[in-house]
Amino acid sequence: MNSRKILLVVLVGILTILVGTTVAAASTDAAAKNQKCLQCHGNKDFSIKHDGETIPLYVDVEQYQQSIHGTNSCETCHADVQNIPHKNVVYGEELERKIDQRCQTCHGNVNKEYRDSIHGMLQAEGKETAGCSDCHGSHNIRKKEDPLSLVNRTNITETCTKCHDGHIAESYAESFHGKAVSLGSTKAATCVDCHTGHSILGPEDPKSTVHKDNIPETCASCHNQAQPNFAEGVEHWTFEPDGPGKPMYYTLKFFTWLTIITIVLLIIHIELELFRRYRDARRGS
Amino acid sequence: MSNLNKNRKFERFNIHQRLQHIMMFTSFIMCTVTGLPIKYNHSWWAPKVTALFGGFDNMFTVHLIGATIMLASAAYHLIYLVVYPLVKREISTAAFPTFKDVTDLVHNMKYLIGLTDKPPQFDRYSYKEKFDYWAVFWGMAIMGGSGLMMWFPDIAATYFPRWLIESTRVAHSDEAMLAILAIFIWHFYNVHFSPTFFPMNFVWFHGKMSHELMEHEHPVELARILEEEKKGSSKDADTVGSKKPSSNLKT
Repeated sequence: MNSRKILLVVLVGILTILVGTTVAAASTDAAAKNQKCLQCHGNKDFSIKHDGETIPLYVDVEQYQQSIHGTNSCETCHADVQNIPHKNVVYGEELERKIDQRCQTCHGNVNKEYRDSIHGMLQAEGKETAGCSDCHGSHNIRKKEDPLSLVNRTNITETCTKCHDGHIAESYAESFHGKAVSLGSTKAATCVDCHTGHSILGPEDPKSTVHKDNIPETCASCHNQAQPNFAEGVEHWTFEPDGPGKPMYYTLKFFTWLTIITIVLLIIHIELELFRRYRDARRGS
Repeated sequence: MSNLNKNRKFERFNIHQRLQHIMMFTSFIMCTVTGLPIKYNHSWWAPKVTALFGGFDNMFTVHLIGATIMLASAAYHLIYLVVYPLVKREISTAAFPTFKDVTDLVHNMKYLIGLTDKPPQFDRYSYKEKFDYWAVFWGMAIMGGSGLMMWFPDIAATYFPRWLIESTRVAHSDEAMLAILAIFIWHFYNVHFSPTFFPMNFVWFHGKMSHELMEHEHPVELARILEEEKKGSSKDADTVGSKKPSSNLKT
């Protein structure tokens, strides 16, 4: 019995060392390969002119090595880059789509979720939308638990509002969720807590977490009971005298004027008292 | 005669009232310090105050503890309002607004701007004190009601539409501002910065007021107390006390 245990330990130990050295060898291998790329791309001023735009081609190697993919070779994602100078170079959205195709070689499950989301569907239609790197970054991808990750809860609002700015961003910033998250709450809902990360769908889609029929359940993931009333109203309202923000707008106006009038009257009362005291003091009474 | 003893103290606030006030101002300060950073979360100081508590979650917990103490003080007061008269077998209506408050206000305005040299003669509670007292009733209804609705949104949503719950959050934030300004300007002038009381009117602590201050602040009440004592001392001890506001009296 004991000898079997010892054998197990020894086997596990050997296996660990084997895997460890393989990974280490692979990573040093990748590092050596990447060195070749970095001869040019490690240069801060390395850039190219395309359509009259200067596109930086510099890769911050330190940042890359600290990223979750830091031990991968450049070719893992840039698979088609074989020759120098590179052939069939693409830019912008086209480049993004090409790279996104590469992400799924490892991240297949997530990719399927993404394809069914509104972002994925728009990308399939060839429209400008958020691809993998728009949210996760490119050479700086980190685990979402890492505070430096673009999709960490401390940064996710900024990441989403790069595109979803204006009304949506404004209303979230004014909401209690937005305020709490901005001060570092670990509980309050960020964008992805209601909309999900990879399976985001518009509110018209019955499968969406923010479809009217699903909102009560979505809210109940934090707020205990799924109340039908959670769906009766608009989440992303702003202070407007018309539209969904109307009751809040007039509440704000009412209390603002109540405060101004009350405090002004109280201050006048204080000033009058001080005035009387001043007069009495001067008269010496 | 004891009635003319100028060194005697008159009880203004009994132990229950003083405890309620202590609970109220402690929780008020807690909620102010932990609530303002949420209202002004984009200010430079909000993250610093949050950091003092070791993060938002801790700070918010303190806010909820403050809220609980404040609601407890409100509950204490409401229970006190019912139970105390039952135990003492007497009821005081001294805090209710009367027509005299309106005439006192007009009179005081005349006095303050110098149209008359005779100040208004206040009873147990001046119109200023009544305003403060009833302002807290209004404030507690708005702050407590909206706070509870935000604390338990799922329960609130069983009864109320969403726009109402959202509106109460706006009301919570703005009514808080009104309360903070009223307390730290108006109330603090009346009990701290006023030359009569600076640095502080200690009545919140010992609950007593001197004969001299009573003459100055509550002459009508003082006169009534002395009058009733005079009547009381001339009668039998058993017949005293049925109508006498005993809470006013302490030697």
